[in-house]
Amino acid sequence: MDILYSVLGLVALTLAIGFGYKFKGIEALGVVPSRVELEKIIGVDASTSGAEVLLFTTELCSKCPQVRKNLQTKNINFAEIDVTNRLDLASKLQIRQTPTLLLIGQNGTIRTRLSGSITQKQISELELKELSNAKN
Amino acid sequence: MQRIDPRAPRIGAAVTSLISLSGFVLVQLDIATGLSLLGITFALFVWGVFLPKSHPYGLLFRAIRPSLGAPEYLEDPRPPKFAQQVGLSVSGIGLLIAVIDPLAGVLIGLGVVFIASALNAYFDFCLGCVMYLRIRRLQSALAR
Repeated sequence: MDILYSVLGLVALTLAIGFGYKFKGIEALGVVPSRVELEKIIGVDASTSGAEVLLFTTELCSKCPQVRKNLQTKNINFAEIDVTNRLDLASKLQIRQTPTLLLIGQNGTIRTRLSGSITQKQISELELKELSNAKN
Repeated sequence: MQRIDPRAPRIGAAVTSLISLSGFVLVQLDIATGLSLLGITFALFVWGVFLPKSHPYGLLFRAIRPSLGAPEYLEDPRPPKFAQQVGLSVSGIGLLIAVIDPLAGVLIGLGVVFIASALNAYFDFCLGCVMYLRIRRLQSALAR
């Protein structure tokens, strides 16, 4: 009986983490800097590059290519920032894992934060289509 | 750098999850069998880190790949290698604990390996991606 309980406990813990991850939704925004502060922090001029979406990656991020492709498929204009050697930047923007996607609102603040295996469905749900090249 | 099919590591993770769960159950019936499975898991991680091209999971994937069709995208081989290094560390710690307490060593080592590999295989959850920045921060703090 102890064996059964231990196995059930292990499997239940795994399922809880897995489903929690799948249905976690949108992460808390954490810090919400202004556009000026954000551009100063990341060194990317979002207004001139047209990038309203920032994708944070690392060199050892297995899900980043998939998210990059999902954004490209949706014609989303985005700037990609590798934080492998920019831990200060990751701390300032509370990037705890990669990929993390930040959607910048019109007032220049971070409107939405998504992390992990960001699917095309999630991107659609967030109506990022508004930001597609086709409408620019 | 040759990019890889992202489904290959997930299939490997699925096999690892089955081996680790088997070991987690069997060690409670027979310590030697559980220890053997922890040893096999450790050896597979060593193989994955140092000789990934000849790894049995790769051979398995090559056998089933024709029935899967083309992948949507290819990925950098470094993240799966990092995952193998994490698995190697966890199973190695399990073996070290097993020197003092075999049952605890196998349960801890294979329990953690099962959680990480099952999350990767069945939920597409990359534990290494969550851990990586934390490890980098820790390395940076230790270096100061």
